[in-house]
Amino acid sequence: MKSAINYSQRHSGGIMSNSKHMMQIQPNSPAIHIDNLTFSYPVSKALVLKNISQTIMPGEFILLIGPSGCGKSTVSLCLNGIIPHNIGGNLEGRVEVFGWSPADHEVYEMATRVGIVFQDADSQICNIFISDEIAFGAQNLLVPKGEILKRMENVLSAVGLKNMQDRPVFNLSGGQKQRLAIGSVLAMEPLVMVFDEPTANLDPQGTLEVHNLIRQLNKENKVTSIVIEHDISHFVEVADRIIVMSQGEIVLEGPPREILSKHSQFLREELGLWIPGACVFAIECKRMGYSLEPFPLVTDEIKVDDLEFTTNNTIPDNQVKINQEPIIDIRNVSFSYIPGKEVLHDISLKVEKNSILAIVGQNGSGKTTLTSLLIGLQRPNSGSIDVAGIDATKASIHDLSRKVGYVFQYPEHQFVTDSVYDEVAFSLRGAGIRESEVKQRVMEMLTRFQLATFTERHPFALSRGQKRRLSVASMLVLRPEIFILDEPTTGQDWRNVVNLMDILKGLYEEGLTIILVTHSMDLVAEYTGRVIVMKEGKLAFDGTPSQLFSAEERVAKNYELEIPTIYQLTNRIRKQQPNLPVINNLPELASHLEKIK
Amino acid sequence: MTFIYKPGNSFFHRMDAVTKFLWLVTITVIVLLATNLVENLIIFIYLLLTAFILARQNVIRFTLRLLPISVVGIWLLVIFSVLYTRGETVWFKIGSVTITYEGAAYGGALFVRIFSLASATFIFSLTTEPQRMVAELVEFGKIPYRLAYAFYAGLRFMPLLQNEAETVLNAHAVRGVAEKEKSFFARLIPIRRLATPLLVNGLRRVRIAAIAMDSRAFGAFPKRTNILELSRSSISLAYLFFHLAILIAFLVYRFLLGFGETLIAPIG
Repeated sequence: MKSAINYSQRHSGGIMSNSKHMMQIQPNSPAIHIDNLTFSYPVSKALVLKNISQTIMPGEFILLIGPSGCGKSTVSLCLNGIIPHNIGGNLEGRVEVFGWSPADHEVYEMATRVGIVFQDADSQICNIFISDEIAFGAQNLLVPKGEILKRMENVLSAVGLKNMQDRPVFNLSGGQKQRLAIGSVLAMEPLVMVFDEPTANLDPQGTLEVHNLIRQLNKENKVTSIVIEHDISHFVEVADRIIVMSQGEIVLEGPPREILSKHSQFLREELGLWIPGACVFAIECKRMGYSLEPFPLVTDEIKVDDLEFTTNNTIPDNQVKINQEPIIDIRNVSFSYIPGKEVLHDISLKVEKNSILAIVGQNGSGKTTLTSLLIGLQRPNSGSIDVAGIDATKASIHDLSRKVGYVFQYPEHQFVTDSVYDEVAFSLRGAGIRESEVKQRVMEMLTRFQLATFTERHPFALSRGQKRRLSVASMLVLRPEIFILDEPTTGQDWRNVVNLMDILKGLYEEGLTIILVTHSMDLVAEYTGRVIVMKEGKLAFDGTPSQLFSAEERVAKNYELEIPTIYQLTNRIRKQQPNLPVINNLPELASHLEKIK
Repeated sequence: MTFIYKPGNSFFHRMDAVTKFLWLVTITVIVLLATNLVENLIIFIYLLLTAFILARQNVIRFTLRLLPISVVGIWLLVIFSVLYTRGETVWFKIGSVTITYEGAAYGGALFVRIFSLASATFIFSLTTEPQRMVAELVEFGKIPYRLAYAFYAGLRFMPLLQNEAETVLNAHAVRGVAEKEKSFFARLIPIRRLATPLLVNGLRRVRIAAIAMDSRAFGAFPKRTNILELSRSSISLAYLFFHLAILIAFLVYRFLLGFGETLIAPIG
């Protein structure tokens, strides 16, 4: 990727030229100054922000973290004036961005100071062609045509979309779309950029591309950057500060090492947030009585040569059950949505009964298509599929859904009734089960999934974690033998993910076969016994997580996947201590720590 | 994908969208004025030649695009051949159904008319770049750009909505919603089930899109910078006026001179 627009080379043309703004900016003045900001949305008296005060200096890289609904995104909308101008609400206190207060300036004026990139690139891209999307903001500000074309050229290079300006946005990958969204904001030459969960919907490769771009913009272009993310592991090294919010307040603030070394446990266990794997390992070591110095932010900082582990305990590779009969038998299956364009090529796969299988791969590799064949949503062009004794190439969805529970990526897509109770009862009633038994089974499920107090609530009114649990409960109530989950952890806090995975572990122990389509390699390492990698419609790898992740170079180069933290560490440790057993989670590894040299 | 534009450098590709749209309207009126099979065939062949020569469309691909239309066309042909009761030249009888030459000609005219309308629409869609059309509607059509953009945004978001609807239908099918509903009102329930997530997600998407557009100064000024080279050639205008002249001649032929008949009621 070529270097991005040079911050110092900002133009002098255009009505809203930033050089004009820059002349008004005093040296050493803060980029952002927030003073006692309190806010509540219209029609709600609940305070979303409570007395927030903060100063951010030009060029700073800030990680803004906190549980879902804590007010992070609201802060970003206060910076560019969308709050209060467009959304309204009750705002008290003052915000200034390079000396301008959104209260005193229109949103279009603030747009040259603050650019926001949102989570859902598809919703924020409002043009059909790449060039239009990049030029959009500058056109609205009546920047002269020549200047717009110059910016477009620079921005396309910066976001890695050079020579693609005439392409429609529909065919771009998730990562490309998010880079385009960043480019469209960048072309307005804002002085501050806010990235609000920009990688929540991306595959590993797309996430990497966007993370690299964000880091580059801050480092090379000195753009003051505020990143709101669940997984901060890619940014802790480059961030200047972490600001932690909870229930509308700033509860912690400081350099990443200080925050994570002192408060990792609080962040993870009290607030339910993701913390970098290296920090998880460090706090687990601390629990065992060992202190890693300096407190590591990334695995490279952990001096594995100084650590000695016990090797006498042999832990089997997780959940591998030998000689189990297959419950799914896929033979030579090919499939295409459009004649002549195969998306699955000659797939053969057997899935053992009572196992946990992960299906991984980049977006578009055929993962979801493969699982949709198992529930009868698609029919293969050729080959055979046996699912729990049923011919899935011919059986109806209705018959297959008695054997297979399928949870979609977005729980909202699956909801079909107006209350939590009816949602779980729906499938039972459809199966003709009498109402007294329906009631008993529904309440059992709701209690198990901690939803018993929400029976009358509309499914859409639940929190993100509750929606996910409801979608699982409503599929499990029919007691399927196979349970398929498509990206169940996307955009979820750590606590929600752990709750869900504990439920799945419980189901596995009860004898269910679980298939997990996921981009989270940490989950694959910790919870699954077998993993298949899909690449361009083919089965590129089939084996245990340890077989996959031990070959780091192949994983990164051939499959473009990330190595989970546990394998980043154990692969390095094993170079010194080859007898280290297969360990699939960080607490377990810490429990094997014998001494620090 | 809801838009089918294919880049090119034909006469039609170079024609501005406003002129082209007026041409489409003119052709549509001419097609609707044509009453008999011969007139419709002449117009259809003319439009095919226009597609192949002036719009430089690939003959096979263009024909393949028209094929699905034949389902509607054949249906019209059969239904109106059967329903046409004013025919005198009987071809054959099947039970109480009488097929006449006049009825078949009437159905045939409708059949060809459908193809003509589809051909003209395809010529327009295949040669009109959406973002250029928006710019030209603003520049030449004097339409406020916010209004023109609303249409453009529709093109952008329609495929997303289609994908989402498909996913929701799949998700509901897995829940057993696809089961055959019994009563008329029960059949309406799945529509509501489909509409709820689509509406909720649609509103969320609209909210994000509105915030994203406002954040990029959409609507800040009455005008915005145009970065496309827009021009309206005199030959395009002459082409439009030529078709307007045909339309006027046709109107005179039909209504002042009284030739032909209006293709309205098959049952007389």
